[in-house]
Amino acid sequence: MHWIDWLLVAGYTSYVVWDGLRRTKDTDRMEGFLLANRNLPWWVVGLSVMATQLSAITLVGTTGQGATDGLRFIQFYLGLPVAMLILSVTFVPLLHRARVFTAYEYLERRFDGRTRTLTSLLFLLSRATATGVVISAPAVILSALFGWSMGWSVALVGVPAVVYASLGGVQAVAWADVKQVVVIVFGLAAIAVVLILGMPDGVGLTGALKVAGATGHLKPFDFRFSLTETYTFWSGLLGGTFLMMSYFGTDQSQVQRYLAARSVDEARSSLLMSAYWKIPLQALVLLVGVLIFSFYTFSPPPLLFNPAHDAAVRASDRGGEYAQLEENFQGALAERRAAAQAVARSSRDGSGEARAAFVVSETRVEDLRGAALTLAGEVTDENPRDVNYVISSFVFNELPIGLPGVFIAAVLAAAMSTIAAELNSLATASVIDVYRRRLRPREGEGHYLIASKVATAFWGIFACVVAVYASRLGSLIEVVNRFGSFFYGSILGVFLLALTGKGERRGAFYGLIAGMVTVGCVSFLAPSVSFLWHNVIGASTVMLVGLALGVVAPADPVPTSVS
Amino acid sequence: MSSSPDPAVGSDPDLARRRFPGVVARVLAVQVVTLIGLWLLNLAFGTP
Repeated sequence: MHWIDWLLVAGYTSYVVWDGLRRTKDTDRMEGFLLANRNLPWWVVGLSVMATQLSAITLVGTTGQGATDGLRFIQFYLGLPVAMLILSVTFVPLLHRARVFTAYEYLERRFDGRTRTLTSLLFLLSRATATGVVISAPAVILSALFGWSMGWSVALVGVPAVVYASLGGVQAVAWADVKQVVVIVFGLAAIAVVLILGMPDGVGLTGALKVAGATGHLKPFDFRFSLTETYTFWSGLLGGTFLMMSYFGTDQSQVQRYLAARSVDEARSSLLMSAYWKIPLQALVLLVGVLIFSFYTFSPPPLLFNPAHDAAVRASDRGGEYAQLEENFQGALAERRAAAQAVARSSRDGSGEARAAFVVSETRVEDLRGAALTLAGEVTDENPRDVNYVISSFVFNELPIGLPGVFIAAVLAAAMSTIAAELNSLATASVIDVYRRRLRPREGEGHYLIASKVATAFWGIFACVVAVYASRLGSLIEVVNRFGSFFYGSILGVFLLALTGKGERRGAFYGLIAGMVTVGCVSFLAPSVSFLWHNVIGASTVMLVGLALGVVAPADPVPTSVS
Repeated sequence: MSSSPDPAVGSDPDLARRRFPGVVARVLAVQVVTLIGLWLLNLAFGTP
């Protein structure tokens, strides 16, 4: 990368940290540090919600997904606007009016302390490890691109966010998120413009779309009803609604954003911002990926997008095999380029033959890439999938000076916004739900404030340590993700039970356990069932068990008590 | 239910309720336009 790019990255990162430190005023009380004195305007909260959800891996992974799989990933988000509309009239007024610090605190008012503690601990466990993965994913990419050690890459991604989240609290995090969103959208828009202008003469945007369309990259919907296919219209709409309701309605990293809004109306408006813009923004991200696919049909892509794997295979004793694959790959690319030119220049009516020839050449290119990926997996003993390196390969090889710096700043922005918000929420849940509620209930305001800052720093260091090791423990990450999906839907079920006004404390606690056990059984006995359906199964089980227990064996009413 | 704003929470529940159908319509309109746009893109340039 050019020194100007490095200057941009260093300048932006320093600015975000400095601005975060500047916002430490009014954070000398718990409510100021953890909830910005419940005084943030709706648009700041709305952008913070969007920035928190848009992690670095979304930015690089989703564009890669667009380049390899096309637009069908948009189906994953179909439930989001529906979930936001439901939440804005249910959970948002409920939690905001309750004046709670954490979503789980509300469960004690409605049910009892053990349901609160269990849900909070489940959140801490899953979110702490997930934050490690959020840091690890971009750090692995930076490490592969620049040849840095994993420790330095993790430090670059994690430390700035830990610093401003520990000192500035939710106020610093939310205002930093506003800048992060601007940088991310600007970076994406700049890449989109360069892609369109960079298509060969005579191809242009229309030709690029014809090429993408010929291989099904523009197909957005799959209307089949399948429990095993991850991304279909129905799994996205039904499973996605439950997943998004659980994430935005019960996950402290999201709930804390809108608890910091000035009023219920402003909290509602902040969630509706995502309802309006998430799908259009995600469509833009995926279209950038699709255009990168088209771009690489006219300009030769590398055989392996991960430069570290490319170097490792070349240096290994199977380098000769790789060189042979590369030679065949160049031949296949030339054929594909000629076929793509024919598709781009053909009229729609007479394009059948050209499309068929292009699809054949594309299959040959993909077969050779598949062989190279298998080789990389065997040589490195790592997951060879390189979808996350597609956009970075394009950025560093094709963009003019300045834009790679903007891209890296955008990746860091996306990572920092997610990490900082998650650290905030981890600190809040551990201090409010565990430390103050269970361990040291009678301390003063100043004690808990210091505890919150220490907790933020502790979770930051914990996540950075997880991040360093997570890159070597690919299967563990998968276990963590599967483990998370065991209880996401179940926690939503408990909140839905609270909302109905019918469930009681025993029903909520045992319903939660029954929901997690059911999802665990489904996950192990029918592993092919898509994880999006786990949320529906978990939430429904909790509701059924909770309501049934309430009817069969009603518990004594619980006294209202919140620390 | 009272229609006066609740100073503790700064909201007017009745006003919010009256506005909600309009909000739903606008949110869904943005999504439908985006998704139809993607569908038309596939129709125009995708596999016949």
